[in-house]
Amino acid sequence: MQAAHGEMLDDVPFYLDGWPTAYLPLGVNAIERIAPAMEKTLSVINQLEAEGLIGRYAIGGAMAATRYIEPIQTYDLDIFIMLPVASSGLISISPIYSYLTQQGYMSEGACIIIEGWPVQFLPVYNPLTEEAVARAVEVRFGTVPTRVLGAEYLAAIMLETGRPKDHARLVQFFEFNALDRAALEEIVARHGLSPKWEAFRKRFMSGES
Amino acid sequence: MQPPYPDISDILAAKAKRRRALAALSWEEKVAIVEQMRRLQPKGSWKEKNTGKKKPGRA
Repeated sequence: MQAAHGEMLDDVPFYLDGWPTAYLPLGVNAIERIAPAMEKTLSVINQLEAEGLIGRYAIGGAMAATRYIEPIQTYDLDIFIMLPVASSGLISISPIYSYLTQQGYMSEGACIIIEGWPVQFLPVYNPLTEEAVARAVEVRFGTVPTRVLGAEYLAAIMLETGRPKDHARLVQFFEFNALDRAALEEIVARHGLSPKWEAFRKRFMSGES
Repeated sequence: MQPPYPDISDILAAKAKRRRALAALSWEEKVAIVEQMRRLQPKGSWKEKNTGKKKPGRA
């Protein structure tokens, strides 16, 4: 078996529960090799914000969820952004892609590959996602400052989106005690998600009626 | 008469313990694991494997 990047995988150890057991815990070398790539990616995104191509941003999706629960398999880095409004009154994501492609970064489907990571920019699309970005948590990834959506906002977005994988992920947030339930319920009520929350609770949280 | 099924409670307990250990890693360590999974199983490879379809030029 050969991976796309050329590494032979025949000697990969057997998988248990989806994890290559010999790789856990990861060696220091792997973290030293991979973490700097993400640091570079985030530095480029910080530069976009500094230059005004994007407004405030925050990491969302599976990469953000991975901060709060166990690692989740994902192929891209979701970046929620507030877009500056153009003089025409329109908001557009295309200047970001134009800028990045001029810098030599290649697009791949809906993503653009920034320092090895496929990045998808998602403009805030409703009051919930706008508030989630506004209240995102200031953190560091390695040495690079960045922002990540708070656990309760991620959970509310999962409820709103409502795909099976969102529900599975949300169950994990409760399993790992990764969120403040009262704070989630307050967000849920304000954004009209109470029916979805009730349905989720009845279906997935045993012992609650 | 039921066959003598093995007790796998130790295995399940070990799996739960490993999941807790993974969740307790630093974000950087967890992202490194995500990246490793991405490299080991590129996007589309699961579908290719399970549908029996292979890309042209691949063995």
